Amino acid sequence: MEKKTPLYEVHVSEGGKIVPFADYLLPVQYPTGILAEHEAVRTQAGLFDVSHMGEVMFSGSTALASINHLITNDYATLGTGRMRYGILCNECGGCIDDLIVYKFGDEEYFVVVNAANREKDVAHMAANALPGTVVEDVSDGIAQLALQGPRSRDILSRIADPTRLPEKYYSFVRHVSVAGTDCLVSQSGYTGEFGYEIYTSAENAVTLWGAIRGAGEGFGLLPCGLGARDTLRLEASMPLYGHEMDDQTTPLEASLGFCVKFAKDEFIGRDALVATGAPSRIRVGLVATGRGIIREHQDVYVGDRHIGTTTSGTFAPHLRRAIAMAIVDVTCATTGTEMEVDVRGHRVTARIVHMPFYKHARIASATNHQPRERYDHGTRSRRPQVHDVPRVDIGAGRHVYDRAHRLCPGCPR
Amino acid sequence: MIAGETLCDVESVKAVSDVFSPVTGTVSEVNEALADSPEMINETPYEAWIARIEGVSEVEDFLDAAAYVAFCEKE
Repeated sequence: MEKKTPLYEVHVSEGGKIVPFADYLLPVQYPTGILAEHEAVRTQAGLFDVSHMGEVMFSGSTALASINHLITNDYATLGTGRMRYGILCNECGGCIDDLIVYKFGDEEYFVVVNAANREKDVAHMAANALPGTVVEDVSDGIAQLALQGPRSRDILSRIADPTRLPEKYYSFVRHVSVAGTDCLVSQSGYTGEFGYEIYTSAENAVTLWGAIRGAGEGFGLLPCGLGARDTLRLEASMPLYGHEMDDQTTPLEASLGFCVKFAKDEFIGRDALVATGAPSRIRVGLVATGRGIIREHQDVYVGDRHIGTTTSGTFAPHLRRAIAMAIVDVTCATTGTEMEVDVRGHRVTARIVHMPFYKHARIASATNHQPRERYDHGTRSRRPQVHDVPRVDIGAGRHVYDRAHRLCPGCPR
Repeated sequence: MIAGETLCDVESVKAVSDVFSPVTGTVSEVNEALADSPEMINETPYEAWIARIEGVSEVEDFLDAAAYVAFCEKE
């Protein structure tokens, strides 16, 4: 029996097309459609109900030690009011889930996990937390909305004190009053745009949604469903559990080495990852150069040699190109390599490009620091630094500059 | 082409859908313009033809546009 978020009736009344996802009933799109919702987030703002996500509290004197034992990243250096991405690994180095840890205090950590993996994660965490740590699944009492897009700050400032909004990427503020409701606001998201994730108690969800929708009216805010959530994250080259990583894939193979800190004394999976060494296959970004749309679970070839499989793929609504991510043999994983993907029986040519496919422009109205570590594209070439990577200029017609092999709609095919 | 066989497929952002041939016959011509501008199917569905089929046999009773609209309204 599928579950409903507190906003189910709202989605139905707004004409949302409801589908089952991770045991929940959620809108895949509204009457506006995926393309319009996607573009709204890229140019103005979109609002997502992500209340299905799981939230787990770690508390106690050994909370930090438990977090560091369970998760690949190093949280000893995480400050209060900051968040950090990490992977929950199994003993073989495979990924159980990807997640974000929020530090509430030295003895209090708030961990946000994928809805589909919530029960599995909590069982693993409870079984492996150190004595002295209490692990509590608090998901059911919490609703989460994501407000994403360049107008997000303007919209939120109409119903919340702007001086209380988080100023830095991957930072958060607790007990922000948003339209009278008590919220945790973090500057984060899964779209590749500037935006916020807003947590409140389940009882306040409907009020909060309505307040943000109202505040967003003059700014072109659209409600957005799961369809746009997927195309947005894929355009931003963000991995999705079950696609780019699973329990048979290590974080290194998924090009998430930036969040695996081998310098830590230990964490579950560390020994296996060290023993395996450099991965033999790695995640890359592809753009189709021939006609066709590449999707997930399609075989990738260089000539007759099968070198890997696609993990996600779509026609990117904003970039207007068919893009995909794949995990391929590391010897072929160089930017610019031409390959072919078997799309329903016929071969579509494709080329490896740098990730992320899309990167948003700096927002003038807030201090928006890009995270220092980006997804590792797994090649030996120098990773472009934030300051020298040309960005999508949202103000002036959304032209993506091509730099070397970077994605560009004007690029000759 | 046999009635019920896949004539072509149509791709959207999220899904790929097969279009089934309504009749048995031979495909004599294909609308090449659609490959470059598939949105013609959304924008001008009654003008954007997909294929010309000749030597048609096994014709069933098909709904015309008005009858189809009436059918959808009943659903």
